[in-house]
This record gives sequence, C-alpha cells and structure tokens, in this order.
Amino acid sequence: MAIVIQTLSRSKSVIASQLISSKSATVGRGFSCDLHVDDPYVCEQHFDVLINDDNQIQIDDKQSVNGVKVNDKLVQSATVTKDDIIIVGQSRFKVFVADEAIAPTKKLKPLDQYLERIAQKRLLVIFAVFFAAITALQQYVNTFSEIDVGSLVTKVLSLMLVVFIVPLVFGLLSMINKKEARLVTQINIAFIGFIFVFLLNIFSSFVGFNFNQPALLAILETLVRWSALVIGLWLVMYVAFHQSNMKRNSIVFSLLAIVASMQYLPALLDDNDFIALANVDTEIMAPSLLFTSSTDTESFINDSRALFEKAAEFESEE
Amino acid sequence: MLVTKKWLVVLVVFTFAFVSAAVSFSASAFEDSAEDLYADYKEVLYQIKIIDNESGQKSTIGSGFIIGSDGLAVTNYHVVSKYILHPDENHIEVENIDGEITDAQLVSFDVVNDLALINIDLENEAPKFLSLATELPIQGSTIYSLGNPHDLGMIVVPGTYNGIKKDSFYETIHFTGSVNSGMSGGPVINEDGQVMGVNVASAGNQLGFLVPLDKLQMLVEDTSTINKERYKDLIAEQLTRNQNKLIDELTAETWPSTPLGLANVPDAMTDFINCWGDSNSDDDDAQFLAVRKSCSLGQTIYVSDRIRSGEVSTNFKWYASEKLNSFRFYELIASRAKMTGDANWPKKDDFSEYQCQLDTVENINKVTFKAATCIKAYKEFSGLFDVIYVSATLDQKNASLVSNFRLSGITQASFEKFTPLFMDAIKWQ
Repeated sequence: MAIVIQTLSRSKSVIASQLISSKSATVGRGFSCDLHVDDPYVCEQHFDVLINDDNQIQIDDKQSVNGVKVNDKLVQSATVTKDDIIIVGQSRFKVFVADEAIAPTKKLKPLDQYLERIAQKRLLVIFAVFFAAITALQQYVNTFSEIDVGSLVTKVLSLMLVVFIVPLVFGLLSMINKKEARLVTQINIAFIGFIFVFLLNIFSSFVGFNFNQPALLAILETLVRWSALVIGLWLVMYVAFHQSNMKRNSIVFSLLAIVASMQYLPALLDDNDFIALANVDTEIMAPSLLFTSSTDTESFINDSRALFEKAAEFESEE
Repeated sequence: MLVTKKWLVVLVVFTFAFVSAAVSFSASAFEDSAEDLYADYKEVLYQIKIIDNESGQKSTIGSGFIIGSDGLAVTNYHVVSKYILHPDENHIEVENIDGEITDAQLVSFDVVNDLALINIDLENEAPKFLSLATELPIQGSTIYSLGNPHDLGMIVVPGTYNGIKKDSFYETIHFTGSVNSGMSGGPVINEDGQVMGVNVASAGNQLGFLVPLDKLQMLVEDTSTINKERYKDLIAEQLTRNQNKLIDELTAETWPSTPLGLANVPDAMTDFINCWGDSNSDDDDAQFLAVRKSCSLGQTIYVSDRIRSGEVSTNFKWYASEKLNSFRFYELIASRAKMTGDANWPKKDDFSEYQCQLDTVENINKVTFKAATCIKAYKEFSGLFDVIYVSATLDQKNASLVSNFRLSGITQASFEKFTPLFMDAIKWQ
C-alpha cells in the first residue's frame, strides 16, 4: 500500500508527484511531515492522509488555521479520489492510492512521428539554404537595375529574420508554460510555410499567365492561402502546447475568425464600397512559359460585349 | 579709352529713353480704346452666379453678356453647369455692373463647345446689347476680351486675333491676351463692338482659347426649349453625337504607320491628333532601352467638376534589353504594362465600377500579345463609357511593345470600331 501526493499549479497542472510507501502520511510546513509544504499559510501539521478499510483515501484536518478545502468546500474530514483537488493555504494537491489504474498509454500518432522527423537540425540548414536561394532569385528577377550583392544579401537576411519571429514567439510562450520550446521544429514549420507561399505565388502567376482568369484565380489563391494559414497555426500550436484537440481547434478558428473579419468585414458592412480604379493584373511572364493558345482580335472584341452589359447593370438596380 | 566709355553710356541712356517712350505710347493707345470699350459696353456685361438654394451662397461665378433687348444672354456651359446638373438644388442669379441683382433662367446649352444661353429677368427692355459679328476678323487684328476675373469687377483685356486653332478637332480661336478663369463666359469683341467669340478658360499665360462665332450662332438660332428633366439626356445626346463624330473621323482612313523598335505602330491617326516621344537612351546605367511615343487629342470636354469627357490618347512603349534575361525582362514588362489611372478619381455617383477582361491575342499580323481592357459606364449619361486598354507583345525574348489607349465618353459601337483597328495596327517590321 502506498499513497501518491501530487502538487499542482494554479492552472491545475502537475508540478511534482511524491510516493509515500505507507498506509498514512502527514502533510504540513514542518520538516518532520511526510510531505513538506513551503507555504506560509500552511500549518506545521496541516492534515493527515490515510488509506481506510475500503481502500479509499481519507483526509483529516488537524485543526489548522486556514482549514482544508476539497473542491472549494471547507471540510473536517473527507474521502477523496484522484479527480478531487485539495486546497490548503495557497497550495493545491491531489491524493490517490498508488495502485489505482492509470489511463492507458497513448500511441504515437503518425503526425508526431512526422514532427519528430522535421525536428532535425540538418533539415533546418537545408530549408534555410533553400529559402535564401528562392528569395535571392526572386529579388534578382524583380530588380531591373544592376544587381547590388550587398543589398541583395541584406534583403534575404531581413526576410529570414521575419521567418524566425513566429517560432521564437511560440517557443517563448511554451517555455513560459513550462513546456519544451522545440525551437527547431517550430522554425522548420515556419520555413515550410513561407516556402509554400513563395511557390504558390510563382505557380499562380504561371496559371494566371496561361489561363487569363484573374477573378477565378484570386478566389482559389485566397482559399489556398487561408487553409495554409490554418494548417500552419494548428501545427505550431500542436508543437508548442499539448492542449486538447478541441481547445486547439477553437483557438485556431477564433484567431482565424478575428483575422478574417478584420480583413473582410469593413468591405461587407460598407454598402458604399466602390472600387474606383481598374486594378487588373496583366499577369505577364516570359513567353517561354506560355503553353496555351491565343485567341484573335475578333473574339477579344466579341468577349468584351459582356463587359458593357455588366457595366450598365446599375441601371436595372436603380 | 575713357572718352569712348563716356560716349557709350550716353548712347545707352538715349536708346533706353527712346524705347521706353515708344512702349508707353503704344500701351496708352491700347488703354484708350480699351477704356472706351469698357464705358460703352459695361451695361451688357453681367456677373453670373450659381446660388445654392440651401445655403443661399454662390458656388460658381463667371461672366455673361446680353445679346437681345429681351435679356437673352450668353455664358459658358461650365459657369452654369452646377445648375444644369442639379436644377432643383440651385438657381441662377446675375448681377450687373451697378450691383443690381436679378434672376435668370436657362434657355439652352452646348456642352461640347462650352456655351449656354440664359434669359435675364429685366424690368425694362435692355438699352444696349451686343450683336454677333457676321464674320471672323482678319488675322492679327486687335480684339478685346471682357469679363469679370476673380470677383474684382469688370475688366477689359486687349489681345490679338490669331485665327482658328489649326489641327484641332474643336474649333477654338487663338487669342494672345490673358483670359482668367473668372472671365469665362465673357464676350470677345472687335473694335466695332461685335461679338467674335466667348472666353473659355486660360490654358496658360498669354494664350486664351475662345469659342468661335459659328458655334454661338448655331445655338442662338436653335429656338427649341428644354425641360429641366431632360438636361442630362441632352448632355448625353450632345456628347454621344460629338464623340461618335470624333471616333468616325479617327477611324475614317487607314492609319499611317511608323517604326518603333522592331515594331510598326500607328502614327498620328488624323491631323488633329498630336504625337510626341522620348527615350531613356541618354541613361548609361539603364539595363534596358525604353522608347515612348504618345499621341493625344489634347482637349477634353468639361461635363462637371468631376467629369471630363472626350479624351483620346494612345501610348506606345518599346522596351528592349541585352542585359536582362527573359524572366527578368518580362517582370519589367509586367510592372510597366499597367492600366493608366484616371485624371480624376472616379466617384460611385458618376460611374460604374470598371469591368475588365484579359486574354492572349494573336492579331492579323501574327503579333502575339497579352491584352487587357477595362470599361466603366457613366451613370448619369446613359450609353456612354470610358475605356482603357493595355497590351504587351510576347514574341521576343528580350524585347516587347507595350501599347495603351484611353477613350472617354464613347459608345459601345465606337469601342468596337476603334479597338480592333488599334489591335491589328501593330506589326513586326
């Protein structure tokens, strides 16, 4: 017969577990107690714990100054299970019999295994090099004056710094929550996210150049972007804090809802919204990337008739 | 040495005295006749004010002059445009040179030539009024612009008649003399006091543009009256008629072709289109060559303080580079092939949103380009649209022709007439 006493934090997570190999134990500020509690509001001998004949844990208040609370109720004597929280002074405990059945062991999910693989430092170096290469390439392609290597390096490095911000914030948050920071995993996830967005941009330019459907493409791109954001945020939180799936999902979606409403609500609520300028993207790339066939002048003019109908639609609205 | 210097000083002093005497003599001669004119015709000049009914304050001022004993008077369309566009919220008030204020009614207007006829409520018949000249004066003769600049009272500006502005779609008189904005609507008279034209606006320092006589005669002769509910329809009709004629003349003949880079592009499409160009070839650091050729009509029609219509402009830019590879070069083209912005920020009350279309096109000369066009509809003037267009060729690895055009206040039929000609006019040499 043995007793387990767990010391809990204010958020009820376990700080320490102590095994006491006897049928009874004393808890208090005195050093002679089986469990010494360093809390000025706890008495020298605050309460006793014993395993009764029904193999249940019973606690007894030893006439302490501040009393014993079980689940916020002041008690003299009570039987408790591992679901009850005992509060004495400013400290929290759980007490249960050591041979009580514990929850079955969780199986490692495939996701955990993938994340374990991502956690390699070698991958971080590969991602960093790849990221630097594509950002440098993008800067190079978008600069029409002579290339200045100094400013190119500065730009790539500052972009790299941006990538590090999110993982560092989440690493710090998980350290505050007494969890392992898992910085390498976080940084690698951020790299994957940014590289994905870069590649998506290039791909959508290519599709736009070939298929000339800017409106449709914009919708698709928005969808992909938002889903990438959801997945990224979910993963980062999965790595940083081990909340329940429900909690994580609700945090991710409420964050998403806030960001989305900040972006789209003003336009939705404002019935005066009016796009004054013709901001059509001409979607031009090098001709060697064009694989679709072209139309002729006549069809272009024929297609334009729909524009006149659409532009004159306000007449039927009024 | 000293002696020669003294003589030189004397000579300079004499010359100066002579020249200044001559200048002051001729100036005073001008002033004399200008003063006479002012005394003779001040009674026919009125200040025209548009009064906001709600606040009772004037929102626009300009000049006007009577041309009939019954109080028929001439001013500019743009002076009374606020009343024409919002007849229920404004009214027209006129003030004569002695400060007497009376009301006036709109009779008719011509938005294209910036003219309006109003009827001033007079108690008695007007003792004096201006009559229209029967023909334009000879070039170089002195004419006088009368008006009311900046709310300061009537003034007379003498100037020289330089004939009808050449190569212009709209007939305007060249006048050397300064016409200020407040003089708009005032008359331009010859020495006999006959009306030669109407002040329009100042296009700069010593260059005034005046509406010529025959447009005014046409308006005076047309005696049909217009209901105020039909003002906007009439504006739309006048703009449509004018811009249809404009596009018809633009598309009447085969456009001359001119080389630009490796391409041939249309030159000035008719004689009233002006072209100019430039390039960055003097920039030694440039990684690419950019040569530009722009053409435009140069004049637009004032419709309201937010809408100018009747614009025609084309723009061709040839880009070529040996230093940039194909990917970088076409990123450059993508950044340059943009829709050109509006001069005025379009408002929801005036226009629909732009509707745009994008496609890859091969024209009849086997030139492949990416083309985009955007159109917006006028909300108040049914059947009229503003069109912008941009294209960039995709036939060379490191060279491309970017073409733009803008047409404002045109019909769909005009668009369908002009655009295919423009798209098919581009060819490789």
